[in-house]
Amino acid sequence: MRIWAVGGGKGGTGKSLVSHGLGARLADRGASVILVDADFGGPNQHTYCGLRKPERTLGQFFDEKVPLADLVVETRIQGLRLVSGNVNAQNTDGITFAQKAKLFRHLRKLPADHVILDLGAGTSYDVLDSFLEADVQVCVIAPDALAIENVYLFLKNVKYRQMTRVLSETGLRDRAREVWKHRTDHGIATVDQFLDHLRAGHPEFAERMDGARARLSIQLVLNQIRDMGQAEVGVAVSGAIQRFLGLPAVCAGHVRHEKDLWRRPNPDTPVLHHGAAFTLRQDLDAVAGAILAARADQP
Amino acid sequence: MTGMEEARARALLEVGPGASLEEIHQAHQRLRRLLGDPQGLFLAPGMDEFSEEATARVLAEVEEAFQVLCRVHQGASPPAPRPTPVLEVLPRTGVELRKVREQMGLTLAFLAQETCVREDFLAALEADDFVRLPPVSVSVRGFLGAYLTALGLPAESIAPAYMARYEAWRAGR
Repeated sequence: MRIWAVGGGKGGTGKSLVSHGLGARLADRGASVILVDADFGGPNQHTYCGLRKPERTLGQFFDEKVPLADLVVETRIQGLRLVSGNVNAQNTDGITFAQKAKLFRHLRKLPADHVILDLGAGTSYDVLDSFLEADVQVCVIAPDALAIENVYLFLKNVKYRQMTRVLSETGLRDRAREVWKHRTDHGIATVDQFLDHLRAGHPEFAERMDGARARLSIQLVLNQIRDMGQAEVGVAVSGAIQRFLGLPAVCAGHVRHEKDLWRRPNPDTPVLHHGAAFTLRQDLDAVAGAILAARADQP
Repeated sequence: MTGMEEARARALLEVGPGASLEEIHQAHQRLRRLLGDPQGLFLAPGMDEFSEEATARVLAEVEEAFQVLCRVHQGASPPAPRPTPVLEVLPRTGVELRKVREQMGLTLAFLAQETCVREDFLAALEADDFVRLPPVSVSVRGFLGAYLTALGLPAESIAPAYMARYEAWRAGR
């Protein structure tokens, strides 16, 4: 079973659509898929699935300790099930690290081939940790300068969060703080030099960092393109992530903008299951296929 | 002058071990075009990671990777990079567009891959062979826009005149 996390920083780039679409297309390929709406700020996977009011939500896992498996509901799409987000909650901030760890333990036990987490916008620790914990890391961008800058910021935060987590695991946080405080004495000007310094002095840190980095493989999805000339942006951004941020990234493909997406016959129709969504289904299928192929050699 | 290994050079230019010299050339040209534009959509000059120094460093690495792979292929010095043609007059017809493409050393197959437009449609655009294009203006406009963008040409200046000729041809059928 694989956990996919769909993030990317900026709101409005289509993380929810891509999460839903990947889930629906994987289900259509015969896989058993559970979508988990972890977008605490704006849960709406139930609407994508054509479900009007979620009876059970992820909030009950945290607040009422309802087993995660009991929160899974069927959708109208064969093979695709859903854990809805907490649509009626006032505040879902501040999930503790222990709660997150528990959530992931339970996610791994869900009876499915793929679990897809819609992470929502932002760079809170909740989002960053979930992104880092996942087996497949998907970043959604749109072809505009703001979305692209935000994805770089998001990934920079991912990189730093990963580093601080490894520092905690190896008991080096205080040591790292000291080094950073006196960085000029150590001839350190950049974060990469700081990392190199810690790596050189602490082999266990270097080993853990290498392990953590090896688990990171960012699949970039370029959403909302309006002409095929924009398709190049996906490849250019994944190249920039590699070259400028030093993180492994590939472009898994693009998804064309569909202005009539929400003109479905009635609210019970899953959003990708009406005529106007044809190109979206086609593009999302290609993206899902590319990600599966890229991950085929991973354990 | 260089200690860069071939594998690293291939990773930098994003070309596989089986890449031809032509493909290496194209990858190099493409990266120079993408990274050389400070207004490029995919750069974030506000972030330290994308500073002028960082961009210059990345461009230098790309250049070095190109030199390394050319030497591997030819056992000699690499040819001088083909400059993007300076256009005194914007190309208007398919034949003129083809000349620009050929000057840039790009094949139709490469452009088809870049634009996701079928190669025979691109050939029809260059031949002004409108009958071989889909009979839908919006598709032709889309193909033309993708083609011009991939060549780095200003679509907004070139496409209207081309489309006007196409529409006139359609009206006269």
